[in-house]
Amino acid sequence: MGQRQHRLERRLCGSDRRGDHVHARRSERRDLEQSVRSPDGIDNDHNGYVDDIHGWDFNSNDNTIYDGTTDDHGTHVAGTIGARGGNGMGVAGMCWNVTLISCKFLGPSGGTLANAVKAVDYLTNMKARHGVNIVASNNSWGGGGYSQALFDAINRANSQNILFIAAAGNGGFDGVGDNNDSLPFYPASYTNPNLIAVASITSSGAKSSFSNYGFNSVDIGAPGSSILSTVPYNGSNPSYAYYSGTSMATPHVTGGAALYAATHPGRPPR
Amino acid sequence: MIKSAILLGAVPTSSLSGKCVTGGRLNVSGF
Repeated sequence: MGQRQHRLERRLCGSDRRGDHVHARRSERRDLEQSVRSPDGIDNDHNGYVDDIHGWDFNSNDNTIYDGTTDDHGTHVAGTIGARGGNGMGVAGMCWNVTLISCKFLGPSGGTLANAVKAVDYLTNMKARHGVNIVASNNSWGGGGYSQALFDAINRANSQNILFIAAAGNGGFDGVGDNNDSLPFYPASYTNPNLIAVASITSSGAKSSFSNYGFNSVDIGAPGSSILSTVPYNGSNPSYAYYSGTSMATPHVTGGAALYAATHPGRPPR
Repeated sequence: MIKSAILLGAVPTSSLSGKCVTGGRLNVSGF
């Protein structure tokens, strides 16, 4: 499965390879801080991660989550969730006032499911121990087989009422969407009750040709073809680009979940 | 509650009929 897995991870990666804080702050004013803490070299909250004020890079095991222009995928996904609207700049995300916590576990060469588990548990722990109001994780990534460890981690997220919203996947080598009912694609195909699997549609409402689907295993469609969103700064100018994939459909749903949580405070996730 | 709101709010489309649980696309206009 190696090659297929690698390819899929590179194409989908996810919530994972988030990015460009500068872009976020200057052009879209996304508030990435999970708290008012400042870097001081001390693991103040004793969660095992020092100065994780924006989240954590589980791939490099450091707090510098944004590593350059190769982090375009995560930056694009983040913009669809939370780019500030009404400011006459670039794009507007689904939820204009939202805090994003970056949990990067994929690098240019992919990543490991062990680090995916750590990333999911990081958010679960943040909510369980510190009461951070985490609504959902966006998982615009895929690849690898069934992992009991990841299934269990998603269940731990469920126990803290955190949704796990996942991309249905972009087909196989032929780029034509597959039926996840007969060919499971993880993590979208896990059966956890807090999971929402997202297919992609075009601007005319058709299913995107690349989008996986599944009468039983995919939940809903959202726009994922030629989506304009934020990409890392190129020089001094904010940059935006059109990307396509179920990776782009998924953050529409995640941002929608954040929007619902904002307008219905106190409602449980499911 | 949030998951069910998202799924129940889906707008059915012919393109997604039989292709997913809701058979439709995301609609947050009621949010």
